[in-house]
Amino acid sequence: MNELISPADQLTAKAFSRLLAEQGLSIAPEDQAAALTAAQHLRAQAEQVCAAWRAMEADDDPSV
Amino acid sequence: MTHPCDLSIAEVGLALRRGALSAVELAQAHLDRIEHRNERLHAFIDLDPDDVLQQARAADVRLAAGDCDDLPLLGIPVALKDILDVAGRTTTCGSHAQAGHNATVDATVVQRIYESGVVFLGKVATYEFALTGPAFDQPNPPPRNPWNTGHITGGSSSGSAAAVAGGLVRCALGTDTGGSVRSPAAYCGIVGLKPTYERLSRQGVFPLSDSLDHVGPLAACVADAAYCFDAFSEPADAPPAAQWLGQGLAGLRLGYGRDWFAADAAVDPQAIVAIDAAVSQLSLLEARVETVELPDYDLFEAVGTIILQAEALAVHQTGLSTRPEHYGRAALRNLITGAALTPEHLSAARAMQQRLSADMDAILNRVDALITLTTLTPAPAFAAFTEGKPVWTPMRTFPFNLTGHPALTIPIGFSSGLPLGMQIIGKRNDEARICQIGHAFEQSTDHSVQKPVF
Repeated sequence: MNELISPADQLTAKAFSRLLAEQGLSIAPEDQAAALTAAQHLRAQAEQVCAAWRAMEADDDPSV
Repeated sequence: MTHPCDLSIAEVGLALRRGALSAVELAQAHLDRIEHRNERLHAFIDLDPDDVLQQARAADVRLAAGDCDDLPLLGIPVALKDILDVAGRTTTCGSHAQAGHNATVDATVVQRIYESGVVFLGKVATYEFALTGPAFDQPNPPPRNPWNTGHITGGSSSGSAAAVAGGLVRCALGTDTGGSVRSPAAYCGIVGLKPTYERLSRQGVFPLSDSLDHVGPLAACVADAAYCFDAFSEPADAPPAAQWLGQGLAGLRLGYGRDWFAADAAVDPQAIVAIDAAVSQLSLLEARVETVELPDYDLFEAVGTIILQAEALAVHQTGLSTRPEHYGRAALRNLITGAALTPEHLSAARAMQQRLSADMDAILNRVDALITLTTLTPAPAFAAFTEGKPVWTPMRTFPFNLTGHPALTIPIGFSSGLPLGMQIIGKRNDEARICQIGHAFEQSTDHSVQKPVF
């Protein structure tokens, strides 16, 4: 997963393009570029939800 | 004398039973209204007047035979968002990608509609695949807000809202995945009911996100919404939504979720004034209103967005991979963002959804209903959408798609001549309670009486 994230922890245009290709989607470059900011925001939201969920699980785990 | 299209469902039902009005006369009145107003509103996109009048004639036969005791909606016109399958009609979903997709079987909720004796008036517009809009590269132009046609209706049940607010029909079914019944209803000054998850069948409704999609009525008043919900819903161990219409609110406990919007930089100050006044009115009606602390709104929105985008991309993966050029640009660009997600993201979001639902259940166990804003602003102008970039339209609807609780929006006033809405959220399968509260408020104010001028 880390290779998909830029040093600024952001989904790069290149990585987004590769993810689309991996899903069998051949999307015009201008559409990819237009969607990139929203995709980066979504990815950041997803990472935050994962972190929040891990924190809740740790809080719930009596062994931690 | 009130125009037949402006009579409530209860009033027009009485007129039909007494023979003061025939179903054919009522249907023709609606067809005439559509003829005169739809060119401005762009609400109806599929209308077959001959079929409408044929259904109305059949309803008149049943009315004359007295075959109407358990059919309160017999002969009353209803419209459908064009993502619900009606056999023999194209389900366009507002997309060129659906060209030629003719439905062969009625959606289950459409079967319920026919069983209730309703006259299916026609199909109304939707944002493309119930996703995003307004857009100008769909098969039909985006509907216009009847209060100011320079402003959007909101969506995705855009045609449903424009049709009801414009007086073309008393009730139109829409779908709500993140607020697509409630936000256009609020923007257009009408009532919108997102029921408990799966109370209206999704079978035969084109999916956006299976775990979040809800079918619900947009209606001219709370009672109309309640009667339609009761006629079209799946059975449940719960009182009918219309059960407590007309009953007072004395002793009911209402939790006011003010912290979800009051400090938000995006909120219209007039919206705060309007909902504070509405809450005061509920207190005057002897409800016991207390401020409640709700779970982090941003977390709801993040979890909902992850699930929606992941599921929507799965629905459209084949279409996007084989004919992307058939999609509108805004819809395509929205859908492909889902590729940024991993299975781990979706798994965490689903787990969090369960946690948030349980948290909301716990809050709703302490009160009879929750109150908050529906949208934080009135409807934006079309001019804001001209650059083709997404425009942020802040609302507070998404949490209850995640949790599945029923939520009703009702008009509470205006800002710059455009309507604002209050959301009333109930316990699961407690549509009756939120309709009781909404109806009592509606009857004690004049917000729902005001109509746009044509």
